[in-house]
Amino acid sequence: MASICLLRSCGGTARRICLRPQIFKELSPNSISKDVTAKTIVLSPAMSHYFQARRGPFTPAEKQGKHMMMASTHWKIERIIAVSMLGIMPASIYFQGPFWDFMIASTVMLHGYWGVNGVLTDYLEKFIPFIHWFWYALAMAGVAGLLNFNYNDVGVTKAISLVWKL
Amino acid sequence: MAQLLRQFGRQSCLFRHHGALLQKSIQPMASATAYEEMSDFWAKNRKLNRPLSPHLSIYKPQLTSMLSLCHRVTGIIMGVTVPAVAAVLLVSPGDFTTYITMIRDLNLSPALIAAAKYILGFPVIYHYINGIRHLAWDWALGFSLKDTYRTGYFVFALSLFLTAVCVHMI
Repeated sequence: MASICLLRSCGGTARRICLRPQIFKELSPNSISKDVTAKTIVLSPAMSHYFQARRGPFTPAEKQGKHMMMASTHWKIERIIAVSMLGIMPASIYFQGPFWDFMIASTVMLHGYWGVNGVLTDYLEKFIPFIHWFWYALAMAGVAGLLNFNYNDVGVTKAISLVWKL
Repeated sequence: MAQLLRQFGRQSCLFRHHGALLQKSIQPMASATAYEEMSDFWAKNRKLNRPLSPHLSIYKPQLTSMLSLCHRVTGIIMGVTVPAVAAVLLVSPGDFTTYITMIRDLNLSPALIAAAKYILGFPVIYHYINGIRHLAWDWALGFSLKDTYRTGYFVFALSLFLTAVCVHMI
């Protein structure tokens, strides 16, 4: 619960920094016509979606969201990846090599990406709406790092066995 | 507004058998959408500024909930650690074998290395085995209270045992 309180205060601070009420006052049609620069500097209402902490109520359109696939389809793909990981993880440790490097890196990144993204959506998005962007950045850097590690370094499976032989 | 609507709703319940009254009382309901009613509900609750409830600390920790929490926590830690380590390796100048040699040259005590391996290995093995349990639940298997406890003890013991095997025997 302490963490929830912390997050609430974080959300509040974020709102105070990013969403001072005068920002929206400046966005009224009168002020924009007076000063064109205000429009370019200040957050647009569309941007405020990413900075304003919000827990509800959500319109039916917002609840539906802009998804590329059904949630059930996504769920099935998640389970397929998870079940395949049960085999891929021991196999990649046992066989090793570039193919298994790629298999373990991609499945672990996908599974971890969806998992953490779900946790952020469920618990953190309502306090810090832009939290997803940090995760997207970290995940992209992680994928780049893992691919680079597989192509230009020893590879994930070999790295695991090297660490375990210490 | 919501109060007014509820009043009308209640009336319609009271005079359910009276066709004409029912017809009249339904009409104002149709003007308010579900979203508007929900907005009023949210506004009312915001104004009341209630404390967060129920507080987590009122619950007695059970094996099942703690294992579930452990699954989440290990998952989040690994999910963040893997890309973080990969990103650090991406920007670091040396290659992996150099770092391994550097660690080997430190001549760390075997106990410290074993402890590090426990810390690295347990989350992976626990999440793997408990993940099977979670996947079984996704297929609606093993939901009875007795089964959840039995598989819970089994998973925890097995993951500790397998971690020990991996650390000391491989």
